[in-house]
Amino acid sequence: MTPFLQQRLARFVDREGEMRSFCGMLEQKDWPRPIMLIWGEGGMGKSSLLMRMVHECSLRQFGKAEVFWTDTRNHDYVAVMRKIRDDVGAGSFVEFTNLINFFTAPPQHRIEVVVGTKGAISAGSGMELATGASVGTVAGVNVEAGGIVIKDLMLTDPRNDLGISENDRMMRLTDQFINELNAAASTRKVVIFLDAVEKATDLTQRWVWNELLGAVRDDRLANVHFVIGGRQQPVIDDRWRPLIEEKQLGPLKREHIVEYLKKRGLDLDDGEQDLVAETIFAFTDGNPFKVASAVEAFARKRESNVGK
Amino acid sequence: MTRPLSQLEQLIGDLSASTSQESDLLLLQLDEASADRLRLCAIPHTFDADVLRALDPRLSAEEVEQTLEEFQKLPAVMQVADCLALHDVVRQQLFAQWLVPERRQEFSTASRRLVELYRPRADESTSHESPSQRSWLFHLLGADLEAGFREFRAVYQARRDLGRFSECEALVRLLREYEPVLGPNEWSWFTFYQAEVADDNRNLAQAAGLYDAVLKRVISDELRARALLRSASVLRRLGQFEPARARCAEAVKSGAAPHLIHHELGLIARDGGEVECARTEFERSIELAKAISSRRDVVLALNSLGTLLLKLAPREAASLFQECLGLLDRETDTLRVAQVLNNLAMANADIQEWPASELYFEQSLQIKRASRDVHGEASTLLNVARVYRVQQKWDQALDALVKSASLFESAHDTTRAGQAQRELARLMRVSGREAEVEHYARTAIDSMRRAGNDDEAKAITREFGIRDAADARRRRRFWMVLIGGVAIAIAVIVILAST
Repeated sequence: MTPFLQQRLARFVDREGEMRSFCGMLEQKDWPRPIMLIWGEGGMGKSSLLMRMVHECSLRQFGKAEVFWTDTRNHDYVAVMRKIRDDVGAGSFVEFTNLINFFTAPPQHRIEVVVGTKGAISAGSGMELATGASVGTVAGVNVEAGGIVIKDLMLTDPRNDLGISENDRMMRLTDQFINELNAAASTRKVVIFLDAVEKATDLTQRWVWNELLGAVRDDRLANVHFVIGGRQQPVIDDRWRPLIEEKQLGPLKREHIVEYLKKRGLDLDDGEQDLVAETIFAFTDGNPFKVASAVEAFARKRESNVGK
Repeated sequence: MTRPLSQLEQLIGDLSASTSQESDLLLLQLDEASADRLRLCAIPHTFDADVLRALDPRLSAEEVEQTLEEFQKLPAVMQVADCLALHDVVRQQLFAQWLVPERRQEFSTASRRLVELYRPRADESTSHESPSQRSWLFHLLGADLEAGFREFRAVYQARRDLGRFSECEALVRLLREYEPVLGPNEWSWFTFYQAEVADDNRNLAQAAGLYDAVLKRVISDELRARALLRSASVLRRLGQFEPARARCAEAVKSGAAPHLIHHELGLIARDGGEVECARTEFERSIELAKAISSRRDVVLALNSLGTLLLKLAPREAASLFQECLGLLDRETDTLRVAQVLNNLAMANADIQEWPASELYFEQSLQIKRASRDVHGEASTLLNVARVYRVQQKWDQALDALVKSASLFESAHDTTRAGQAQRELARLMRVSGREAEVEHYARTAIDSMRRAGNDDEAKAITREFGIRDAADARRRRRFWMVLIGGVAIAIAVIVILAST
C-alpha cells in the first residue's frame, strides 16, 4: 500500500454503520444479504469508503476484484469478467479464457488445447518458427513449468464465422464464468467491488443486474459478495430486496469534521477547532469531498502565512 | 499572526461567488506551477507519468515524479488501477474551463500531444475498444474538432456495423463532453447518435423524441434520410403506423435508398396486419435491392418476405429462403446462414417435406455445435425432434429431446427444458412407452414450476392426467378452511339467534 493510501485510510471518518455492515458480511457465515449497494451524490465519499472496504478484505486475505468505470475505461460485460478473473486469479478460469479466445480469435490464430487430458498434449503441431525463435507463448497458450496456462488473447471483436448471436454468446460466456467463479469461491470468500457503475453503458448495467447479480439471486453463486457504488439510487424490485443491503451516503456531521481536523493534525486549540469545524460545516454542507478540500486549502493557507 | 478562523473566513469569502468551488479549493492547495499542471491533468480522464510528460514536455523525469507525488496527496486525486484520476466533480469543472474560447488554443495544443501519446501503433488491432484507443479518439476531438469528428463518425459506424452497440454508447458518452463546443452539424449528428443508442437500449419513446429533435433542424440530406428511416422504424415499433408511413414518404423526398423505404413500409404493413400490402412492399424492396446489387439488402428483404409467408405460403417461403441461402457466404455470414437454414427447415416441415426439413435442421445443428452455441443447439434439437417423430424415427427423436432438455438445463433456460420434457412425455405416449410418460410429464411440471410458469405446469398436469400432490394438498387445505369457516359462521349465527 502506498503511504498516501495509508494516510487517507488513517484520516477516514464516519461511515461506521456502513463498515459494520460490511464487516458483518465478511465475517458472518449466515449473513443474509450478499449485495451491498452504496449510493450518494458526487463527493459523498463512495470511492473512499470502497477503498476502506477493499483494505478490510486485504487484511482478511479474502479474494477480491475491483472494477472501476471511467469514461475511457468503459468496461463492457466481457471486460468486467476479464477484470474479475484477473483479480481473483486467472488460473481458476481456464475454461472461460478458452471460450473467450474461441469466440474472438480467428481460426488461423487459434490452437485448441484440451486441459486435463490423460494423453499427450500437442499444441501448434505443424507450425513453423523462424530460425532462432523460441516458443514461450504460442497463440495464447503459455507453455510453462508446471503445466499449460491458457492466455487470454484479449481480442474483443466476435468471429464472423460462428453461427451464434451476440445474446447467446453473452449467455454462454457468463455461464462459464459464473461456474468457475463459484468454484473459485468455494475455497475462499470473494468480494467484488463495482464502482461508478452509473458510467457503464445501459447494456452493461443490465448485464450486471440480470446476469452477474442474477446468479447470486438464483443461488448459482455462493460465498461471493458484491459491493456496488453509484451516484443514483437504483430502482430495486421486490425479488432483490432480501438480498440487498442498501446504504445511502449522506453528509458528514459537525463532530465528524472535528474528528477529521484532529486526524489531519492541524495545530488548533479546542475552541478554535470547534469554530473552524462550524465554519467548514456551514460552507460545505458536510459534503465529505468538499470538507477534505477545504481543510487542505485551509492548512495550506496557514502554512503559507507561517512562512511569511 | 492572523487567527485561524479569520484565515478560514477569508478563504471561504473569496470562494463564495464561485461556481466551481471544488476545483478552486483544490487549486488553492497548490503553487501556481503545480496548479497549472493539475489543470492540464483534467484534460485526460486518467493520468500517470507518461501523460504528465506529454502534457508538460518541459518537465524532467524527476519533476514528473515529484509532481505526481504531490498530486497523490490531494483529496481530489484517486488511484484508479495503475494510474491517477481527478475526482469527477473537479475534472468536470476544470474541463469545462478548457472549452472557453480564450483557452481553446492551449487546449488544442495539449490535446495534440495526447493524441501522439495514445496514437495506435501500426501493429495494434484496429479495434477501438481499449482505453488507450478511446483516449486517442477523445483527444483527437480536442485537438481538431472537425478532423476528430470525422474519425469519430467512422469509428462509431464501424462499431455499429459489427453490432457492438455497447461500445457505440460508450463512444457517444465521450462525445458528450464536447457538447458545448459542437457546431450545428456536429450537434445534429450527436443527437442522431444519441437517438440510435436510445433505440438500441429499447428506449423507444426517448429515441423518437431525439429523432424528432434532429429532424426539426437544418441538416444534410444524408442525415435527414437516415433519421427519417430510423424514426419510421421506431414509430412502427411504438404501434404508430400512420406517422411511421408519413416518415417513409418524407424519406422518399430526402433521397433515402428506395429499397430500404419499401422494406420499412413492408414491415409497417406486416406489423399492422396488412399481409398483402407487406408482401407487395417486400417484393418491391427485393427488386430494387437487386437492381443496385446490394447483396446484404436483398438478403434482408428476402428473409423478411420469407418469414411473412412461412405460415401462409410455406412452399413459396422455402423457395425464398433457398434464394437467400445462395446469396450468403457460408464462411463469413455464418450466423445468418444458420438462421436461414432453420427457417428453411421449418418451411419444409410445414409443407411436409420431411427429409428436406431434417437435412436443413441437421445442417443448422452442425453450425450451432461448431459455434458452441448451447442454447441454439438445444432449440434446434427440439425442432428436429418433431421431424424425426413424424418420420417415426423414435430413437433419434428420443435422443434429440433428451439432449435438448439437458442442454436447456445447462443454459439455465428451465422453461424450454420443460418444453423438451413435455415433448418427451408426448413421444413416450405415442411410442407406447406408458411407464415413462408420467416420469417425463412430472419432470416437465417440475421444470415449469421452477421457472415460475404455473400455467404451463397446470396445462401439462391436465394433458397427462397427472395427480399433482402439491395441488391436491392445496385443494384439501382450501376445502378445510372453507368448511371450517362455514362451521364457525353457523355457530356464530346460532349463538346470536339464541341470545
